[in-house]
Amino acid sequence: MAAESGDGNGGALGDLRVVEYAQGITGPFCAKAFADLGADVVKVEPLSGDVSRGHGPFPGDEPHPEKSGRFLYLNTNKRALALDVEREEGRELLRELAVSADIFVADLAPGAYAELGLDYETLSARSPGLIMVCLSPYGLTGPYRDYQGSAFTAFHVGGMGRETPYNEITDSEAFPPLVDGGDQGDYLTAWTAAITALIAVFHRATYGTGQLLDVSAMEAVAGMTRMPIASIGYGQEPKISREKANFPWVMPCKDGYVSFAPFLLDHWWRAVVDMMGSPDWAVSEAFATTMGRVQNADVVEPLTVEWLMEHTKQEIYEMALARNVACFPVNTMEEVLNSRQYAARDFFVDVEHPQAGTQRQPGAAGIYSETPWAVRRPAPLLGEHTREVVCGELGRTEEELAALLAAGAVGEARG
Amino acid sequence: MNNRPLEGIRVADFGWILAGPYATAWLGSLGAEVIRIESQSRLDFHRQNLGAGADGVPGINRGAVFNSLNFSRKSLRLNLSTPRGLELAKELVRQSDIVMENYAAGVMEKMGLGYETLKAMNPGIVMIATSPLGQVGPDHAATGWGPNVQAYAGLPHLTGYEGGPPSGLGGLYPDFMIGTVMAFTALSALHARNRTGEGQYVDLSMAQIVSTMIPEGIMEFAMNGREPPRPGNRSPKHAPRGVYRCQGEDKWVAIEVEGDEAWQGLVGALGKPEWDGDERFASLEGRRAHHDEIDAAITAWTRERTHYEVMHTLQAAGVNAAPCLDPYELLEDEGMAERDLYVEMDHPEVGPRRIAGLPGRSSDVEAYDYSPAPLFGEHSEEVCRGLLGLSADEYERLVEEQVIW
Repeated sequence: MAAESGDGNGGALGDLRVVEYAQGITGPFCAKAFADLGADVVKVEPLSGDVSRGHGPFPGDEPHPEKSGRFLYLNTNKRALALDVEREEGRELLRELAVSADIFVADLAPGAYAELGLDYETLSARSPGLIMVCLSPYGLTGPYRDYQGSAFTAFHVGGMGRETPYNEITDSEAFPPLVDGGDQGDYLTAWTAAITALIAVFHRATYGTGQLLDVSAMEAVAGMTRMPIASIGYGQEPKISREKANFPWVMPCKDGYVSFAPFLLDHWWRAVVDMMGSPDWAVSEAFATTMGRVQNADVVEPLTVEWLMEHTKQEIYEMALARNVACFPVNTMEEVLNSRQYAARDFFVDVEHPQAGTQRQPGAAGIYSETPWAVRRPAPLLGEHTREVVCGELGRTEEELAALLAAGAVGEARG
Repeated sequence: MNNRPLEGIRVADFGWILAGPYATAWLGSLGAEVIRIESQSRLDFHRQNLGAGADGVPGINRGAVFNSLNFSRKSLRLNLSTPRGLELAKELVRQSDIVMENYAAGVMEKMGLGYETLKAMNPGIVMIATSPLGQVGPDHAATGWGPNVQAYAGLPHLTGYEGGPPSGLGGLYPDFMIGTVMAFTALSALHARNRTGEGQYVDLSMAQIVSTMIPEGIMEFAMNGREPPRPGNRSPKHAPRGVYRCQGEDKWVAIEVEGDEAWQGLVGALGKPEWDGDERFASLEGRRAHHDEIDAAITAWTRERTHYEVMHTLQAAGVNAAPCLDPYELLEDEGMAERDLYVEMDHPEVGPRRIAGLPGRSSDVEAYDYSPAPLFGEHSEEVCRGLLGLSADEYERLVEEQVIW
């Protein structure tokens, strides 16, 4: 049976209220982690909308602010209100909303909070238990606090770029540090923000106080490149470049690529030798230990690839599955969407949206036995809940709303 | 002291390798009592520290990887392949709030520590099980480490130099990110339990975690039946965008021009007045069409400068730019110094060592409550004779019988 929670939706975080004034990926993905577990999330957008509304993919490649795949995904389970923070009436509505929340997620430029009266001191004076999460490229203090940043520069400045691609290149002049193809600099920063915000909920329950959380994208990425830092501390020379020194994560096969790491564990290697039909070279004593294989990677890798090239990624994956060896196909997007494993776990969700139609999108990271992850409402239209929030939770009259609309302090979805 | 919000929460930690230990590093550094179960019979890969002990000296307590992930916990040696060892593990779970594990799917059941068994003893238990493809489904038996699982999830297919093969990410990605998600998930389930009194089981799939972080690529195919191209360091949304060679050995700077105004800033900083008003570069499409030419001019300029110099100059001109730092540079970076990510922990065998702690900073809360990684079995006696109620004689006997092993 599902546990009943604060607002009765059964989600693990169903008693929490989050207000989000953030755009793009980081802030919205952080708030989505709460929304999809039942939190009531109110998304506040500028009158022109979250910038994600302008980013694809779009169905049929036709840009439309209500049909952005990125936006539809990142904003499930949220209600939305549009307002103009350039106007004091708009700012005051945002303040009222922020102090009504358990958690306020914002991504203003570090210098802009005080200017807009949206700084933690002002807000926490009105709501001492408030948890405020400020997202920025480099943090709220320090020499770079006013610098611009993005998923791209965060990935590079935090040290991930220098290690990417992993163990694949030989000419480092021709192949510069590389960014990933999925804006992980933003997505992983969102998880750092989400966990620190949830920790703050426990902190508040224990100590009775809220707090300001200062989340830096550079630091979040640097938190991923912790292994070479440890090596340095332990008196070792870390591998600090993308240059080939060992086995890569990705290797070619007959019809694509596989990710194959049988070299590090002896029992995996023995199973792989069996998979390959125990060729003479592979049963050599020289390769029987991890050190032997790593030190002879320049021999082991090409001979392994020779075998891989004779088999399809599906064949290799099935053989590895049968032998409990770590080996996965490098799946294309089509293959990810057609994964039998994802299908059996109902990973993808088809979300019906009033303007974008029904769109398939990634679902939950895992399966909660008692408090299910769920899409209870699609991403909001721009200003869809302006009336509901302003006249409901914020207690304005219809006349006051009309005045706010006429003044351009808030915006409402048309039709 | 106000940095122990999880005081009173006990975690039976069956995690190992990378993601599991990193997840419980979060919980332990927040005041939870994390008791990691380990044994000679199933030694953590990173306890073996193949040729990589502190200062070149091998040893079970000397591994850089192990010690830099397994901080803020106790170590209890229990041989789970013995009936008595299993019994003691169950007793620990009976007295715990959370069970964390990241073995391959089904291993906990096989050992006799499946959720149903544990729940029968402790109905309020929260159990977070993390495996490559999840506990159920036709391919649940798949085994592997994070960097391989990300391939299944689709991230390497999107990553790579223009026209080149798919590429794996560095940093042992996504393991530490997955550890963070595991810890978030545990806290979310604990939060639910605090309201309802009910524990639960969460079956996390490492692959699904990564696939939830690449929605644009997946939805591009779902909407339009098209595989996104691998763009290298370039982007269809902003141009120019790239990584450019600077002064020094293998030194680079990342530059992303996010709009027409930033482009004006770049033109000014590069000292290319002839580009001012050049129609070819006036729009994103134009700059994308002439990306190679623009890149050549940027490189001619960056080559003469350090990567930090380029960052400061371009940021002052309103252009997003940052150096591609290596770990030595991160340790010395002035911006990072503000963040307190790098901390020294005084390990009982290898002494004070600098490692990366946990990210995030708070206005009003003291730093995370770190303690150094434990020696192998450092807390066996304390936990067995305290929490698990063994007498001194019984403890000695179980050590001899290789139950506490």
